[in-house]
Amino acid sequence: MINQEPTSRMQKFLTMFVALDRRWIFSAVAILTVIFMMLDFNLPIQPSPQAEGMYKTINSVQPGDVVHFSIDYGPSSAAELWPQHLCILRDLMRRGARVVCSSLWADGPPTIEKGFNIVVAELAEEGIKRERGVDYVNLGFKAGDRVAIASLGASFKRTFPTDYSGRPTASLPIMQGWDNYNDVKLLITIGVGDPGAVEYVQQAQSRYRVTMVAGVTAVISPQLYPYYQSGNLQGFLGGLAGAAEYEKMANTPGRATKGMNVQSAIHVLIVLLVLLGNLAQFSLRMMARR
Amino acid sequence: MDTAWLVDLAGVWLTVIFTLAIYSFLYRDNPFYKAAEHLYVGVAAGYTFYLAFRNTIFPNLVQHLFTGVHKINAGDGAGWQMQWRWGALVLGLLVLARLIPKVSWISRWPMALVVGAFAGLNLLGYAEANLADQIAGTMVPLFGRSNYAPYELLPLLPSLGQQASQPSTLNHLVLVVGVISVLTYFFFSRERSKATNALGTVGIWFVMITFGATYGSIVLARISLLIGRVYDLMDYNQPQYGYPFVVGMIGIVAVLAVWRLKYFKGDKVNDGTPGGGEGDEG
Repeated sequence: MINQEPTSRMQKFLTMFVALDRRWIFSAVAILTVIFMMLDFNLPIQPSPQAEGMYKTINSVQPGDVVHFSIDYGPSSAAELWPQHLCILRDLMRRGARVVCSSLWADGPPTIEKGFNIVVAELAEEGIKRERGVDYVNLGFKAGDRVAIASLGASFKRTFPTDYSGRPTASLPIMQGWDNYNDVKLLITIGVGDPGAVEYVQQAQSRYRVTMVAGVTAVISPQLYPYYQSGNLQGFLGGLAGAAEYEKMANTPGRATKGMNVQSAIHVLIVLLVLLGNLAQFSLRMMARR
Repeated sequence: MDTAWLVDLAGVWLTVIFTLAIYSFLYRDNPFYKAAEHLYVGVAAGYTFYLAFRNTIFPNLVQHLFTGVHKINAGDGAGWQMQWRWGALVLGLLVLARLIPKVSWISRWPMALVVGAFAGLNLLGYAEANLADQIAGTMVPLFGRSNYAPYELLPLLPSLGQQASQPSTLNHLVLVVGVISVLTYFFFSRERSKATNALGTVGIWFVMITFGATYGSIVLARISLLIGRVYDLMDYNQPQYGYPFVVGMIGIVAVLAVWRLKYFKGDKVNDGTPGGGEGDEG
């Protein structure tokens, strides 16, 4: 802080700017958010190699392939992960994969239900029929974190004796002919933390060598680069930006794409404020020295 | 009137009002924020307990014990196979011994079991994914052909117009130098020479850049959450719901203005410094 009393007009302005009430910044962020949400344009998005890897892996799934889709987040992270969840589920179900959903988070199963309801209704409008228990299933929540993942490696049916609605999994058509990761074509997790992608890599991918991709929040994504580099993950999506990249490749621009406009505008604002704040601080220091 | 629609309407209004109440903290600590915070903590505690009972304790313990006892009473010997879960119940109850100081040491037994099981399970996962696979992942060619399909010749630098992280000699060199220097920085078993000190300094730069990338990701994540809330507020602000965002916003701002004028006359305005002008409220 500059202790001397500001003398010149410039010094007064810079002192005021450095001590700017943070509520002005909050207001600027709010105004930019609303404006850029209402503007009808999309900024160019270039998919990253890890997002491309994810898209290619998901699009290599053939009709009838078993895909374990673990939804490891709840409503509190939906803003970041819901767009990823929805576009991946849409792709999988359109391709005719057998989608087996489960969750290691207690508030995950209702999110799984919401996703299925939306995508099944969308596909029905396109004339594609997908049936619960035959083409997709919600196995519900399983406590135990890493233990639960290791248990899935031994047997899905023993780990989840019943599905979310209480039907015995052994009797469901979708569960016939396979029971563990040796028979699973692809493992996908959409996760917010622990347990999530890292735990699946350690307990499922590295032990059973199942092909795996992940969608995570932006906070978690730096942790996944080493696993992508080492080939444990074929690809991953990080936060809303990852979802926007996926939407771009799938040619289905949605909320994530729109959200990138706001995200970019606020990033520019933050960078500008950081630069201007530092510039003002240095200028004040130089003026004080003179 | 349709009950489902009324429930929907109540849900929309509660969502909007609570979102605005939480965001009102950005102005300053206030009764709306306090009420929302207390309600959230209470509801979350109750909901977590319900989920733990419904999804874990009931299906994994209570249901099996009751079914087992029922089968034994009906003369079915298979019921005895479910009775081992009494052991799990006893171990679970032993954890609660922590609440009684005289016998709190008993709680270490179930904890020892949990720690031992997790350590054993993690050992394998870490050894494979975080050690063996990471060592293999770091063994990249610096020149010649790429180790990824289609095994093309490595360019010296990432090509223009492509992602900067594309495989290239430069990127692989950064990876190798980064791994070696960071490992050197965290190697404390021997006294450092000038060379290892210099390499360690390079390592700390890599660590700092990683922290910077993580911080950037955190900013990205928080803005994404804001975007999600604003989408919801705008979606719900429909005539059939009675414009809850507009009404809620006007209501909260009006009440806050009255509250501010009544209780904070002459209160120092926030000067932007941490805690500045927040005062001792209440």
